[in-house]
Amino acid sequence: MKAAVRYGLVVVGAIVSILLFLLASASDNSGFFDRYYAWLLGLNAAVAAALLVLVVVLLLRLYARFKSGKFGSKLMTRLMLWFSAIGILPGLVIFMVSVQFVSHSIESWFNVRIETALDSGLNLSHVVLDEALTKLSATGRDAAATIARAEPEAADEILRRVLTEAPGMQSAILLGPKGQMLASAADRALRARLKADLPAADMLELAAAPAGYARPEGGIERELKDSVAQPATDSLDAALSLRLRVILPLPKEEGQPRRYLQLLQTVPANLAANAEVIRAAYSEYQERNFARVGLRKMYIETLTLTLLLAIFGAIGSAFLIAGNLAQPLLVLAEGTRAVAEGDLSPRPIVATSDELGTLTQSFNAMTGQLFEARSAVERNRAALQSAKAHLESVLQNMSAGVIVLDADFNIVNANEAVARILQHDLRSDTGKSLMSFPGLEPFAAAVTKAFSTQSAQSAAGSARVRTHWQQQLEIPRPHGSAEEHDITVLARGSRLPVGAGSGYIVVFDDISDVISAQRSVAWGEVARRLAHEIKNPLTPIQLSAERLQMKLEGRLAPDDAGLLERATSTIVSQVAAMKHMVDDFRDYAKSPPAVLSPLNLNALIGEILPLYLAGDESDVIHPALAPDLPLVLGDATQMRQVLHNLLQNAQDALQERPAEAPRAHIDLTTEAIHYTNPDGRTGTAVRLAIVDNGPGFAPKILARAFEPYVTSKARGTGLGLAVVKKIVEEHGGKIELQNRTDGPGAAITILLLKLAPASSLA
Amino acid sequence: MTFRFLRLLALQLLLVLSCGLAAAADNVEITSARIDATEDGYRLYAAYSFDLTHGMEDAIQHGVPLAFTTDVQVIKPRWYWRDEVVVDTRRTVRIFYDVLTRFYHVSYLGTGLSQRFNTLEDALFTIRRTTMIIAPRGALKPGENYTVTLKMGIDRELLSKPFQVNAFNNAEWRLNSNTKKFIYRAE
Repeated sequence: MKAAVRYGLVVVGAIVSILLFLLASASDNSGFFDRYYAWLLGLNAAVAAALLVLVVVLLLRLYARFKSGKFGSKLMTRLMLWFSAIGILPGLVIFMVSVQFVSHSIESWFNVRIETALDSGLNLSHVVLDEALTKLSATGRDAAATIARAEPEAADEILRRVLTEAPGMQSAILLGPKGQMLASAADRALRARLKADLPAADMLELAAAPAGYARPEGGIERELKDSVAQPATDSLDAALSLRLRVILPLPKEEGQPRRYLQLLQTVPANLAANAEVIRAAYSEYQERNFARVGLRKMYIETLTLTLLLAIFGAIGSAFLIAGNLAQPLLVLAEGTRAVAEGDLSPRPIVATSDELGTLTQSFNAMTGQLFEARSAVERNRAALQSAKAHLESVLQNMSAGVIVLDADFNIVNANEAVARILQHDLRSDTGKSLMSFPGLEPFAAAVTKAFSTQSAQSAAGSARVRTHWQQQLEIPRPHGSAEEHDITVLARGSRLPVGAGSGYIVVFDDISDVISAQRSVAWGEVARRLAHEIKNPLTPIQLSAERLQMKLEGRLAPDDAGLLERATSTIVSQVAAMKHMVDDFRDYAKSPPAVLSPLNLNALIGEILPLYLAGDESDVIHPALAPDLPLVLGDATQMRQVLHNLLQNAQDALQERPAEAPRAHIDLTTEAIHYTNPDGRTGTAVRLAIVDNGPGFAPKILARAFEPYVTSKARGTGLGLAVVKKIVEEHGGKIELQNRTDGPGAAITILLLKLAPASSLA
Repeated sequence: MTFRFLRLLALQLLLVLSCGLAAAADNVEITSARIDATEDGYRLYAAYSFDLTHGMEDAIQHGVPLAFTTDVQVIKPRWYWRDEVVVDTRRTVRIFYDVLTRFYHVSYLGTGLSQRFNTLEDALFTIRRTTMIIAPRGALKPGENYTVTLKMGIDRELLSKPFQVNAFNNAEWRLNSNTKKFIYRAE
């Protein structure tokens, strides 16, 4: 559209130039422009009006833009004003000077002296012509008198004489009372058209006066000249046609009709030419004199039109130039704004080879680099974020609790495991002091003390200052907790590097299970030694007691013998019980290693169950065995002991039930479990579950049920579950003990992971 | 503000136009006009009534030639198309005062006819009535109705240029009739 406007302006400019040129040329005197001057003027005015409209439209548009604060309009306005001023001011100056010049010079053409001179010249011509007329009249009067006196036949002769005597005489005609030709003498050349020279009626009327008619007149050729636009006629032609006509009445005679003599004489050529020059000059001067207002108006109109065209052209051009100049700047400014708003897309390039073009190119290069830099930053940020997220997830999924503290022991960060181990979710309480958590004061105090001790050690310059401390801490359970035992944690503390801001990091792990295992081992050792030490004297005690009875039985009175009998039997039975107990301990302490062979768990259960079942309604055990259970690797004897122990436990638990409780019930289920290994392969395991609806485990028992000598029964060694756990672990299985969630009762689940190779997928 | 300026401009334009129209209105009156069918052809007789302005008279007295033109158009109306222009002719009469011989010349341009008068009044009398052959016999269809338009005035095109400018913006130099229209039934 811009290009169209530009071409349009070029075309309009060309047209305007042509029109102006024509208008200026029209000031010359030439027929064509005389004829079309009005059109030319109108056309120029129309073009000026069109330009005015264009300029007004452009100005209005600019004004509207300016008013609405459109970006770049101020610059456009300023450029436009400057360029317009540059275009208009010189034009105005030239216009003013020209108008003054034209007005004054036109006025200076006309002055009184020239006018007077021309008037005088005209008068002179008149005088000369009048003199010639007087002379011709005198000649005519003589001739008329002669003719009147002479015979009518002699008239021709007299006329011929008159014709030849005076120089330049064209014709001498004797006329009748109605102007008819009576006699004539004429120049040879004019003889043919003598009739045309006969006087008109009004002339004859005038001639009837005694003075007769005497006037100069133009010839026929001259009067027929059509050209009005050429007042400066060829003076020679005009001179030839300027002649004098004199008509005189002949002296009146009685009875004779009135007769006239007409003489036609050409004015001498040089006189006629001069007179004609004066006449033409006079006419022309008068014409110009009359037209001088018009002339001045014409010049001023031309000048004004030129000025208007120039001004409007200048304003239009100013718009174009301002637009061209401002456009790259606006593109740049727009670009800058877009960059400020974050849009780094490339701007349209101004395709010029000058500095502005280079500027936009540089600008685009700059935004490109900015874009690169920004995306690099973005990439780095994303990488950092993902690294951080990775670290975070590692931290969160660590089984060990991690607490990061600042120099004042306020929490900076903690992971999920902390919540699990300490029963306090510290993650949402960053910034709080570690001391401010109820229940954690001992932990906090221990940690603080450990760090201060370490600080003291390092200050004392101890040779073996380690970068961290390690300590086992007991943390009391929060009130109302189901478990009564303290949490035992192994905590390690270290200082964070100074660079990252001084602070501390505490890593701790719940080692309650480890402690429990250690206790088991310790108990096993104690049991083994005790069994050994106790068992040795038991046999001599029993033998001694039996011997006492055997030897003293006959010698004592029946009363005493009875007493002895009772005492020895008590001793023997108690020793036997003790032996049994010691054997249990020994078995627990050093049970024979399991011999693993393929074992059908269902078959084993089928072997054992009849011992517990009566086969009638009173049975409490309800087996639910998966039919296609894979074979497991196990020791049949030991597995049998496991089953006996668990079933016995369950039955014992059910006997302690209150009377109003629902019917006793034990579920025994086996099933195959499919699971996914960490390395992606699927594996199969066998699960054995025994669920009763007894009172369940007391919380105190639950945590330590697998430790020896922990029992809820009145009679019992507390070794049953310990043995079960030991056997299951030797089989590479897992045992889980929990209370039922859907009601009273306990659930024991054994997961056997080692299956017989051939039947792993059975 | 711009709007007010524009309104002002428009008002002034309107004023100038109306003035122009008013000034263009007649100071020449066509008093009579008729067409006769003669042997030579269709002849128009027209009479005008006007007076020269003082400026014009002055100019003539000083030897400046003036020309009067009569424009005649005979139009046959057509309902199905633009009207047909059967005759479009003009006659120009020039009046010229020869300051040397003190005669007023009235000449008919293009015909070679010229008349000489002693007084301006005589010359104008001739100019005030015109007769002219506007069409040869047979150019018009007898019995048909034609619209004749007639206009008479100073011929600006034949004025010298400064006078043309004058004639544009000086009422002294404007002498025109309104267009007279009449129906002529051809014979």
